[in-house]
Amino acid sequence: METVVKIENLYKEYRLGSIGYATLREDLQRVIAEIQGKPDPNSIIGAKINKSNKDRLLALDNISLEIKKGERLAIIGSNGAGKSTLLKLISRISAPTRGLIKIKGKISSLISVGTGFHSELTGRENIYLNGSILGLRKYEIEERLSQIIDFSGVDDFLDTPVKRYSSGMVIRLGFSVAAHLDPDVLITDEVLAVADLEFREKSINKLMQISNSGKTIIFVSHNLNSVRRLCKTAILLDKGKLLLKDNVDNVISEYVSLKKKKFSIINKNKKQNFEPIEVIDVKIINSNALPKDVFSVSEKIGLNFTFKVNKIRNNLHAKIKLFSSSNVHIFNSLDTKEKVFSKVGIFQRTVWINENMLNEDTYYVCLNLITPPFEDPESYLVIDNIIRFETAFYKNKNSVKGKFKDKWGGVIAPKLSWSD
Amino acid sequence: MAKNKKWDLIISSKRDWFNLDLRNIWKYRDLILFFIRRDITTEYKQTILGVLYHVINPIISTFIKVIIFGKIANLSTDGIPQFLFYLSGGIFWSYFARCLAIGKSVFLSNRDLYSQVYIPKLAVPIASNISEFIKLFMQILLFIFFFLYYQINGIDLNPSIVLIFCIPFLFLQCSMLGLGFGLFLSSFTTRYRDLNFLGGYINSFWMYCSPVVYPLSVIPDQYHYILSFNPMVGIIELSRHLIFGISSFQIEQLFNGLITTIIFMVVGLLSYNRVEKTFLDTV
Repeated sequence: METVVKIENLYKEYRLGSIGYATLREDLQRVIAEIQGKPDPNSIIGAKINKSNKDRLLALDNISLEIKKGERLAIIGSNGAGKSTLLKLISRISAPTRGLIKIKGKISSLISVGTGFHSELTGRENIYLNGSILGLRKYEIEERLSQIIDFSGVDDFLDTPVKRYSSGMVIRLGFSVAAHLDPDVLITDEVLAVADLEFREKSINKLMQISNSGKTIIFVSHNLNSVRRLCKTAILLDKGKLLLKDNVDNVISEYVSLKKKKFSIINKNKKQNFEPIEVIDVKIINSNALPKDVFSVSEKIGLNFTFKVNKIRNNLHAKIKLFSSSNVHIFNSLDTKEKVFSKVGIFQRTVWINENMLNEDTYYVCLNLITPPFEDPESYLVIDNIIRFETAFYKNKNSVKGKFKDKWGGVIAPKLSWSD
Repeated sequence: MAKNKKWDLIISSKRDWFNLDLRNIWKYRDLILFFIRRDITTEYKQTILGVLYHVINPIISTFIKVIIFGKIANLSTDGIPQFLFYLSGGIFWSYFARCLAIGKSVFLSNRDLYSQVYIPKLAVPIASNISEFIKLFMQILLFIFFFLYYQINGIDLNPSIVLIFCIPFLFLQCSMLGLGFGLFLSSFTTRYRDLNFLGGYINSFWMYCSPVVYPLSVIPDQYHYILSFNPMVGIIELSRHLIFGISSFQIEQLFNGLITTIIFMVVGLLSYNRVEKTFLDTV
C-alpha cells in the first residue's frame, strides 16, 4: 500500500511561563539589562539564567510515523499526551518546531464543526462560507449542495438565519458540510460528542462509509469504544512520545495497562503494583456482545473485563463502582462467585446492568479487586475511571418516559409498575 | 518506483521570509469571494437605516469638520468649498484608517478561525480590504452628488477629466499602505499587547500630519519635504489637484509617498509572514 502521510522526527515545543503575555516594557528592560551586563530584572529569582528545559514543554518528542492509504488510524493517549498537538500540526493549524510532515493528496481536518459560521447568514449562505473555509471551490460546493442539505436534515430552515437555529441544527449543518469534503486524508476528533444521538450514529456511519471508500482517516478520541468501532490500527502517545503502533485492540490494552500503572496506587501492605492479576482489556458491550459506547436506556449494558492471572489468588473478588458525570456514586456491584482468579491464564468476566435502570448521562466505571471479609475489605487494585459510556432515551413509546419529551430528572430512571 | 514519490504538501518548521503562500491564496479565491459577500451582507443587518450608514457617516463627520475647523478655527481651504474640501479628505482618510484597522486586528479578531482550520491566513485581510473598497463606492457617489450640486450652483471647479481616472489608484495606495502598516503592527501586538493602546495615538498623530482638515499650503514650505514622505500627503493633495484643480501637489510627494508605501507593505508582509505560523502559540 502507498504511504499517504509520512511524519519524520517531529518535535513541537511550547515555551511556558510569561512568554505569551510579555509586554514591551519587560522586553526592553531585558535588552537594556543585557547591554549593561546586569541580570534580567524580570527573571524569576533563583531560576537558571540560561533557558533551561524547565520553561519548555515538549508536546511532541521525536514522532516518526507512516500512514498508508485507506488506513483508519486512531491516536490514543491520556490528556496532555500530545494527541491534539499532533492533529494541529498535521492539519497545518500550527507549525512544528522541528521535523517534517509529508502528505500526498488532499487533506481536510474536522476539528470543530461549523467553523466561520456567521449567525446573521442563512443556512445556505453558511454552507457556501463554511465549505470554502474548508477548502472547497464554489463549483465543488454546488455539486455537493443537495447531498449536504439531505444529510443535515435542516432543509426547511435553509433560508433562515443560523441564529434562529437550535445548537443541534448548527452542528448537523456543520458536520454535513465537513462530511462531504471528499478529501484523501480526513483528520477528525471528538467533534460529534455534542450532537444528539441519532445524528451521531448517522455521522459515525458516514465516517465508516468514507473510510470504506478507500480514504484515510486519522481519528482522535478518548472514547475507546468509538475508536474500536471506527479504526483498525492505532498509535499510543504518552508525554509526547510515540509508544506503540499496532492493531487497535493491542494498543487499547496497552493503553489500559498504562492507565493502570498510573492509577493502581492503593495496596495497603506492599505499596507496589499488583502483579498477580492484570486487567488487559475493558469493553462496554450490548446483549449481542458488540462493543458500543452509546446505549439506549432500555438496553442491557455489559461491562466486560479481560483479566490475566499471573499468580493464583483464590479469595480475590472483582467489584465495580459506577459514577455519574456529576461524580455521584450510583452503585457498587460485587462479583460474588468464588475462586474466579484460581487459574493462571486469560479470561473474561462481564457484569450486566439491567435495562430501564440508568438515566440519560455519561457514566464512569471504577474497578476494584478486593478480598474478604467484606466488612473490612482490603483493596488490591483500584482503577478509577477505567472506561466510560453514555446512555440516552431513543424515541420509544415503551420507554420509561413514555411520550414525555423533556429532560428526565433523577440519578436513575428505573421502570416501575403502576397499578390501581 | 518507491523513491519517486511526489508529495503534495510538506509541512516543516522552516519559516521562509519571502514565501507569501500566494499559490494557496489563489486556490482559496472563492473563499475570498464568500468573505466579501459575508462582510457586505451582514454589516448592517438589523440596523434600521442599513446601507445608508455609509452615506450618513461621512456627511455627519464632514459637518462637524466644517463647524470646528472651518467656522471656529477658521482654517483656509484654498478657496475650495469647505464641505467638498473636508468630504474629499475625509473619504480618503477614513478609508485608509479602516484598512489600517483591518490589518491591525487580523490575528486577534480571527483567532477562532485560525485556530480551528487551515486557511491561507492572508486571505482574510485581503477579503476585508476588498469589501472596504466596495463599500467606498457609496461614498464616491455621495461626493459626486455634492460636487455636481456645487458645480450647478455656479461655483467654478476645474477637475482634470482625464486624470480623474487616477483616483482609484490613489485608493489602492491607501489600501496597500493601511494593510501593510496594519499587518506590521499586528505582528507585534500578538506579542506585545500594549501596542494596542498605542494604536489610537499613532492614528490621530498621523491624521494631523496629513492634510485632511487643512490644505498643505498652510504649512511652512521648509516642512514640505519631510511631509512628502507621508504617503497620505501625496494622496490627498494629488486628489485635490485632480478634483478641484487647486493644491500644493508636487511630484516628489507622489514618489516619496510611494517609497514609504512600498517599504511599509514589504515590512508588513514580511513580519506578518514571520509571525503567522506560530502566533497561535503566543496569543
